[in-house]
Amino acid sequence: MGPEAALQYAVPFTNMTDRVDKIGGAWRQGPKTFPWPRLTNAQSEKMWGFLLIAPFMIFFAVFFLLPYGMVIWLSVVDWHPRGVTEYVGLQNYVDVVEMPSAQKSMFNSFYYALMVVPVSTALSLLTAVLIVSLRSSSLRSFFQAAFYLPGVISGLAVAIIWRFVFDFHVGVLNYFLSLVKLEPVNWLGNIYAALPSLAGMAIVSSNGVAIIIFCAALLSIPSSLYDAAAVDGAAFWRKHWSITLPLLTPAMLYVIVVSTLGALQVFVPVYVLTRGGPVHSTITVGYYIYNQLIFYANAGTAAAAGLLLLVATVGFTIFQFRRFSQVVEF
Amino acid sequence: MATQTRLNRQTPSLIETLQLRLLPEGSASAIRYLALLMVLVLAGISLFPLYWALITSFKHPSDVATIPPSFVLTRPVLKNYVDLMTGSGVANSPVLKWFWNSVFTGAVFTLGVVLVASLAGYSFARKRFPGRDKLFWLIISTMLVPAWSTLIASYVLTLKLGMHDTYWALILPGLASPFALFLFRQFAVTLPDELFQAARIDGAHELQLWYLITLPLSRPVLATLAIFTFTYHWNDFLWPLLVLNKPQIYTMPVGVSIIMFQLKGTGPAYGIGMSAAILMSVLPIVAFVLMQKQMIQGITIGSLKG
Repeated sequence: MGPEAALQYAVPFTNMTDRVDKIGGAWRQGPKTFPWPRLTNAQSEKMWGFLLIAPFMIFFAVFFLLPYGMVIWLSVVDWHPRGVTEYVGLQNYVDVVEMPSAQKSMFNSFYYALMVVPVSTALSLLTAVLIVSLRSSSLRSFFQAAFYLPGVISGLAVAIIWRFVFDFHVGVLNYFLSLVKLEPVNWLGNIYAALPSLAGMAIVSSNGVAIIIFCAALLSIPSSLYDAAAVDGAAFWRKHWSITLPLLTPAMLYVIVVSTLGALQVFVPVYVLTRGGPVHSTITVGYYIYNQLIFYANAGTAAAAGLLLLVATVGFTIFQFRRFSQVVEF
Repeated sequence: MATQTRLNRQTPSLIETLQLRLLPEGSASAIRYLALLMVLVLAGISLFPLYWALITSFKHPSDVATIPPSFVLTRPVLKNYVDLMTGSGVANSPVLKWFWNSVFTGAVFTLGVVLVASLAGYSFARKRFPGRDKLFWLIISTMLVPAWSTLIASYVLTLKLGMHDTYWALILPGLASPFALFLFRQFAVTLPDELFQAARIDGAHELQLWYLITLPLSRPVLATLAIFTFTYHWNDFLWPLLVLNKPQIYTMPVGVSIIMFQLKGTGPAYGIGMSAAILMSVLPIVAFVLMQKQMIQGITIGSLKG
């Protein structure tokens, strides 16, 4: 190595301003001949920004974004795990729309959501108001925890427990009915009772998140608003109608959107308790898709049904946002 | 000093003021007791199934399905749990292996999710790069899309990648969790910028900013995230049900669902079902009891600050 080459390495380290410039960027340390170009602060920040999100983005692209493309492709082909995959156009969609079990499953899913969402939202709100009005703060957090507890255990465990509760012969529900001299109900075996039974189970066992959100929202309402209303002579109900409800709207919207999304996708209780029966009375979109995919190896139809569910859900969510923005301005 | 105390006493705390506003005018202790009573009844209804499962799981099989049912535990036995563990008369049910499968993949999955989400969340919160916010909201908006619509494609994809019946199928597909990213980013945004500037002046490397400044400060959020993620993985039933077909690789929920399906029978078989339900619930409940406060905060971050 000649003296010129050695000088080339030595220069950056003798130059004081250059050293100051290098602080904070290990990538930029070293001689100027280093293969990477010297970066300005903004460039370095940009590069690190992309580098740090890279692991997330790779997994996100492969397992979240790629499936979006694949599901569109799957919905227009006749897919077989080992056989020939051929293009069938919109046939899968036609199949889904014409299939009675698919129609029934759409109807059931919306019917189920319509039973669960309003009742459980109202019940959670009532419970949250009651909890917030308790005097001792340890009682308040105790009850928040008590209501959230059934929500931390798995849907499968809850469904298994409720299979016992709903049992026609030895179930607790029919025992309670017999105490008040009522006929036992075949909760899961009657085509009219089965879906409402599943809805009832959801209403009782999955309010925890909504209650906690409502509690937090209630506690964040500034009490000066109520004082102002009191000065204006507003009555009890009037106060809640004009202050509490409007200020709870964002929380309410969140709870309603999320619980609608959950209700439209219900699967585990159906799988454990009724398997879609009796006579398709509890077949939901989720169970229909599962059936098409696993039992009929019909990924094309399943994909088409999944996309239809997506369109319906997004439409429903936008509708809910619209309705709410009419009531209150964010 | 005395005046001070009296003043404090006279000024109701924020929550007391709110309570006075929530309840009707002039409502005294009677209304409060009524509220307490109603909450108790509602909590009783919501917790009853869990209680019922708990005591049933410790009953002797011959006491499980009696009419009238007994609501107190008179002679607790572990027979149901032993039956469950030893196969409960159902062929090919290695329950302990299922338990291990769930714990192992859950632990690896949780580590992966927290690592990946904390790197990306830190970047989304503190770095400036083009398209940052659009990308972030694109990722977050996928949370509002029903899982069913892409589930079929994920199923086909993992099948093509040869991941079915392996641990990979339980770990990789959910690794980039939008929820985890959101939770971590919302926290990292609140960290004071001065800390990062100071560290930078001290010559901290970019990765050092992440593991020497961001991670130690976000320990509570990381713990919440880990518990949420593990519980989610532990409770997940649908995805493992789709991609696992060999009894040796089942997770706990899939295995239990198969047992429940094969037992079919009513009566004493419910004892085994209840013990399975309790066994699946122990870990999430313990985690919740330990981390109650943080988890409740974690839920509200998602709803109010979004």
